[in-house]
Amino acid sequence: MQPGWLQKFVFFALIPSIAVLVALRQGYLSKFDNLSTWKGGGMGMFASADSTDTRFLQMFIEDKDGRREPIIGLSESQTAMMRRILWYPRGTAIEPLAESLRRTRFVASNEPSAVRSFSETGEVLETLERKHYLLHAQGMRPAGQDPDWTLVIEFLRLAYDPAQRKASFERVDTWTIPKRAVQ
Amino acid sequence: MTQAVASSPGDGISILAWLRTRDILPSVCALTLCLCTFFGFQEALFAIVAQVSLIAVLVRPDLLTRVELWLVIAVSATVVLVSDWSVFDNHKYLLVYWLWVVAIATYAQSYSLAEDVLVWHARIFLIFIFLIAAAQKVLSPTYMSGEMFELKLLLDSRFAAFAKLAGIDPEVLAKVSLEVASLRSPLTVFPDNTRLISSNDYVREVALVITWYDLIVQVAIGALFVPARKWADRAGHLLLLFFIYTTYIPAPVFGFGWLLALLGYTLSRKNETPFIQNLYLVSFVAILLYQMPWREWVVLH
Repeated sequence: MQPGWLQKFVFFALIPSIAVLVALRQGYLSKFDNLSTWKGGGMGMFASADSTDTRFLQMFIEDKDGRREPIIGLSESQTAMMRRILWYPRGTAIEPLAESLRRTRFVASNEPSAVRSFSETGEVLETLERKHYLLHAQGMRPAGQDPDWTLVIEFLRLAYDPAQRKASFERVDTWTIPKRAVQ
Repeated sequence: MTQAVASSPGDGISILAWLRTRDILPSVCALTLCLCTFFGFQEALFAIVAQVSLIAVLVRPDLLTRVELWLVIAVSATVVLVSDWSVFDNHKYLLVYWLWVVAIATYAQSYSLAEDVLVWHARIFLIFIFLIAAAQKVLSPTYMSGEMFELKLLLDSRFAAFAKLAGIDPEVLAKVSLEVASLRSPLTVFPDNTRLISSNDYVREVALVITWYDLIVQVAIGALFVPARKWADRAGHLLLLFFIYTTYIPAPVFGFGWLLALLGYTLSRKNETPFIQNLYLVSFVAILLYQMPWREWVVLH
């Protein structure tokens, strides 16, 4: 029995064609929309210093006066959400984490921690007047109590200059989620 | 038409001999089913389908080359992949493509084209994987500068054992981790958010050696399979085997290693020597052994 042209196409060309289209889409999204080269169907494993070692989310609670307190401790499920988001940070991916954070009760030490400035080589230069309460997630709020603060999530990427051995963080994107923006 | 499996690999015949004496389709199906079970998606839908399929084939070996079985496996893998597409590694996409290729090959039995379908796709995917990967590396400034592998050696805990074996002082890795952590801390301010880190010339040299080795070997493997000539295929197989046997010792991406070995084995079944085929079959076992927790042991001692 001889296959027709459609069967020949399915037998020999369909899957490679899909693979090429998916790879092109992955290349586009990683170039223009922050999808990591490690994910999404390209062949860019070990092609770019752009994985969870070099991508970070910083989260803050911002009050009415614009004062920010950093969230440094997440629950287990929030940490898992954050790890997933890092591969392709975008508004729709942020939503579940934002919703969870807005329903979270946070705790901090009684005294705020001082912010210090450093030289490029890592020596302490001075202790600044600025101080932060470092927030840790501890359980959920009772239903119906939407907190009166704004959640700010920043996506940062580590850049490294091997010739000068200088590392730096670049802010790639920021999401601001005010009260009742997420349900 | 390719015959379904009529006998088990028992009866005093070794697994290697059984796989080599079977037609391509049953042996490739058996190895693909192992890939699904050992290194497939961990999501419940796929894991259950793969495990039940394995049991079904053990009970009824003739199911191994049935199109229905492979359609179920391929569809479940596709559902899992599509439902969470942005978090799956690129090689998981390859697994899904390969499952569809096997499903198509089992259907193509009725046209006596199963072997042609498998061999064609094995070659195409080997070329695709290595040349596209090489192209992405050449186009990536962070790869070509050596930055990617230097950061992997310094920051990726999966590479800590390899870095130690390569002679990189673990103190350097610990220091750099702290330095990067200090840079991202909300309690620190650095000029232009930039700081020097404690990498050194040796780390950079190791990173550059890996960078160029990886690029050259990938270009060579992909290019050698393009002409489809016997001498080029032979060289391509030997280089691919070298790549599989060496890469997956430090790089714990075992599913990808198994898939590459499967593609190479499928292509080698067309017209390669039993020696080459056996090297692929042994590589499947080698990849399983590479899972031993030697990395943790090296880091701790």
